Amino acid sequence: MKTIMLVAALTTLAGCGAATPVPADKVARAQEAVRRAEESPAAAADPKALAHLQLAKNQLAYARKLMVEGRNADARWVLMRAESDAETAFYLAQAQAARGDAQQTIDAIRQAMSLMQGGSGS
Amino acid sequence: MKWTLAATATAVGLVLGCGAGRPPNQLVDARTAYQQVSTSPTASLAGTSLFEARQALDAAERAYQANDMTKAKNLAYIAHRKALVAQARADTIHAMETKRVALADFQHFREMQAIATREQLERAKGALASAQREAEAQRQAREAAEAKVAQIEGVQAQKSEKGLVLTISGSVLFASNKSELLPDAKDRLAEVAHALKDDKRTLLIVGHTDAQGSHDTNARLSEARANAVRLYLLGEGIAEDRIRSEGMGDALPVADNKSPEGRANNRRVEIILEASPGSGHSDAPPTKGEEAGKKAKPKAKDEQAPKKEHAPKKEEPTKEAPKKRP
Repeated sequence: MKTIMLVAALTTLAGCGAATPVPADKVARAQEAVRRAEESPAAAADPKALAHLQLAKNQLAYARKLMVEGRNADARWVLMRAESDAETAFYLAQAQAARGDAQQTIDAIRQAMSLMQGGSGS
Repeated sequence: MKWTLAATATAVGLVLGCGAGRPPNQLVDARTAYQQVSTSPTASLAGTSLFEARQALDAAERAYQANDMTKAKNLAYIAHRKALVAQARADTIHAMETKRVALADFQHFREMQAIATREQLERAKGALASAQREAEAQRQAREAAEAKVAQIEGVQAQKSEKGLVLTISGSVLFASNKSELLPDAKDRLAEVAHALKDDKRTLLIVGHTDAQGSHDTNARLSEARANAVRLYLLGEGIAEDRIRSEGMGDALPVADNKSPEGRANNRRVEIILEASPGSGHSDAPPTKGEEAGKKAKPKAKDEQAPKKEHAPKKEEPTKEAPKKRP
């Protein structure tokens, strides 16, 4: 009886795609990408980056749910998407920070040049 | 959380769901995103990330061609994100480059400012050195001039607050009652002019008489004599703007007018090398002659050279016997 149940279970799992296990590194990569984006100080300041980060986190949670449900094939794709959104969030934040830094530098230079040329307005 | 997961599940379900025919939205978005980043002005800065986006898009296209829609949609979704990453990395490098160029320009600006400041300083130093050299040259010229005039016979040199005063006896320069220079006087004055040529100080020629005769006559005579000396010195090369003349008449005697010797000493012409412009003027009230002397600059070219001049006739004292003026 036990043997019959096990075969039935395996058959069911195989039908749902659970026969293909999710590689541990897929989960680890997605988690690492989300962590890196979360730790980027600029991510919180950039709405686009923040939106992609949220997408990544949601997809990571959904992938876990899929894995619990045994839908590993779907979970693999969702994990890859989570990783790509997390990476997008990280680089968008980085670009935003670089633009802000450059603008700050240019403003400071303009102010300094104005002072050096005696154009402080005082 | 449940709602979020449900929404994500729906979205993913749409992606994972099978379809055919029209390219899925994910692929359309990925194509557009790649097109934008690959044609943007900063595309060259994207580096390998643009290549990775291209590879991801190609993989999605292949899946689409193979009619594997689940794979095509997921790969297109990832390709879209990779295109966004490529653009973001290009933007990052562009911003860093912009900052680097701005800092380099600023550094260049500061260097230019420093160079301009140094050049200004050098010009100021040069001007100062030039002024010092000029001052030293003038000092040497003054000393040389003073040494030369001190050796001229009949010329007494004396330093005073007014400047260096060269006194020449009237008897050396003029005949009695005349304002024409004597031949010997011209030689002396030529020596004086030669000695003073390089001296930049201004010259004030002041004529003086003794107290015989009326004040007006003495004033006119002294002015005419001072002017004769001035014109002669002009003719000897002293610059016009350096030299003025005035007549003091008998207002400033240096000796007693009662004795013949005293009167002889009072009849004189002084050439004052002014310590500063205008310092040679006397404190004595100006006589009519003096007023005239200040205006005694030549008005025509022919006045540049000494001209034969006649002193106005001196009024002889009525009660006193006329005395010969040297």
